Amino acid sequence: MDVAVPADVWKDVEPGTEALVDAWLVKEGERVAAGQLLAKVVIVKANVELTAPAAGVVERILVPAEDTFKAGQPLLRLRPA
Amino acid sequence: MSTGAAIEQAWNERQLAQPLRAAAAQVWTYHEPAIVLGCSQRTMLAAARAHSGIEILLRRSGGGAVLAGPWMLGVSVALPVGHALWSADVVASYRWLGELLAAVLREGRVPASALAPAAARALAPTECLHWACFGGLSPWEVVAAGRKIAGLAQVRTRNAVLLSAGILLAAPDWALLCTALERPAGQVALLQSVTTSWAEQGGDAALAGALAPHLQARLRTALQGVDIGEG
Repeated sequence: MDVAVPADVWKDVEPGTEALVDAWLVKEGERVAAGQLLAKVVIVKANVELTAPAAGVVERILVPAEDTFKAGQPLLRLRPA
Repeated sequence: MSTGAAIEQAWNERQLAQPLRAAAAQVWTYHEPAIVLGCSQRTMLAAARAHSGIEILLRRSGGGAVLAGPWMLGVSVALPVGHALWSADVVASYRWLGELLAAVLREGRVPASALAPAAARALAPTECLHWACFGGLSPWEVVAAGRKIAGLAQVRTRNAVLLSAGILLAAPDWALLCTALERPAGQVALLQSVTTSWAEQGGDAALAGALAPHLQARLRTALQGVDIGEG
């Protein structure tokens, strides 16, 4: 399961705008609970929490900390429990 | 109304540290200069503290460095999820506060307006100033005569959103900011050219001294859902 910033957060954001992964709070291989805080990202000067949509194991972090990403881009791959 | 950038950041942290039961707002004044870096600027913190003689703080919201000081009013607004002014949409979340600030500035005869997203896009950013909050323009930030007079940022958690703003009352000491963060001296004039203030725009001198409590009262009214000053 790929995890991205929810679409409603991006609703009025100009197409093409890049956001930034501020910090990852989990590591690859880590088991996470549904709703657990995974990362903090910055979108249009807003620090936004990324949370786990389901329980599982972090398979891969797709965008490292301090890298940029765009709307809809997956940030993390989660293997559901 | 309270004073000090460190007190402001501590207040902000307290609002986010616990489930928020009700909306709260606070207006800040600053007797001494302080630089407040955006959350993504934490790598600049150590060098700035070593290099400058003023207080350097890190905030949780994004955006560039803010130079707080006697030339600025600060605003913090904490909204619980589900409050009438809360929105899931990051950009829309800024709107009511930008419009309220613009309305208050206009009451002081400053020709201010909050920038709708399309208008913010139309004003070309000054790329080399992206490190400074007042060097860029984002949706619903406030301009007067095409120059930035109020900046916005936010922190979103599962339980709340914290909106913050800085309003320029007078010209900041941009040289102090550029020196502290080791930016080229030429950027002082650039920052001057893209920003303006209550004083520069001929804001009502009689209201200037009472602006902080006036703004506090307007925020209190807005949080009660009565009025934000602009349709």
